[in-house]
Amino acid sequence: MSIITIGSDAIDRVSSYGNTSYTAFDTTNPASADCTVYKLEIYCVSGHNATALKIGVFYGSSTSWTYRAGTTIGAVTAGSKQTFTGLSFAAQTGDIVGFYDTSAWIENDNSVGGGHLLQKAGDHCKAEGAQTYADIYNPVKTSLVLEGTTVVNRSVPRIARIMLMS
Amino acid sequence: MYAEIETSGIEVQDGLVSVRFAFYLESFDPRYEEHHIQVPVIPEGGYQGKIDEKGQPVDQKDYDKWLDNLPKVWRNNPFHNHFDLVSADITDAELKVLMKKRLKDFGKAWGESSSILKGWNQNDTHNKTESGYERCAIKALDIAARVNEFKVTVDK
Repeated sequence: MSIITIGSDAIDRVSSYGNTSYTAFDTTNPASADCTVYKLEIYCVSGHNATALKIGVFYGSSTSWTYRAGTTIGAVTAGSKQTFTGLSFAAQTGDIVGFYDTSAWIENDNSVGGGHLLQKAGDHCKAEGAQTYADIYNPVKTSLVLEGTTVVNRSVPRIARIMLMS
Repeated sequence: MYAEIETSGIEVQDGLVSVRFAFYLESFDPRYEEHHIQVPVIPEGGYQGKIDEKGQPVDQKDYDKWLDNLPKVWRNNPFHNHFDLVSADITDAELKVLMKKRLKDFGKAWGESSSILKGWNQNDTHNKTESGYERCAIKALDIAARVNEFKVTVDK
């Protein structure tokens, strides 16, 4: 069993990604093996909480990417690294981590190397086929990282969202 | 330290209810200051300066100056968050026992500055009997409606 990380360390960085209501990701550090994701770490910019964060893994290349699997995290408080365990979804070799939220800014840095930052308006953290994303920045690292184990759970969670927010 | 249920993280999944616990430190807990932080109060409309294609201020110094001048409030962020799948039949008492166990275990890992994963016992035996969607949805809504009843603490 090996530990796999997808994405970049969730740390306080010198700048931010702040396009809300976009699905976005950077291509830094894709999965190096098939794995089951069990942990997320994220660092939202102080004052810019996430309201209903969704995260997922995507596969593809260049500007064409397809959502594979993920989950809804919900609200995330900003200003310190937030860690979430108990996740369970499958990622495959080469997958990258993406996110969607209507209010979050995420710590981000284009001075330390990394991959390409891609984005598309709207929520694309859902099964819908390949989408074309705009490649807007590189190199870049975004403070969002998944951790998984190479013990793979291939089952697809049957998730039903309930509207709990009044 | 104490734990609460975060309603925005509740889902129905695989015939179970996925419940998100948020774990908080109190002033006497180890490493309290790491998540007891000052955050700016962002006014409606946010930053009005020019931003680039990734939503980042073009003039970072101007943005930092604007941010520095905003009023600040203290906030106690969770030191950890965890999702558990539970049965729609789980009782309030069983759910509180689970929350307290998670709080105690994650709190211990936090206090020892070791990997937070050391606090996650995946072999626990809480109620995970599956049931249909409707039953799970009703349970999820019931928990969300009574979320204030599920706060648990661990003594100093």
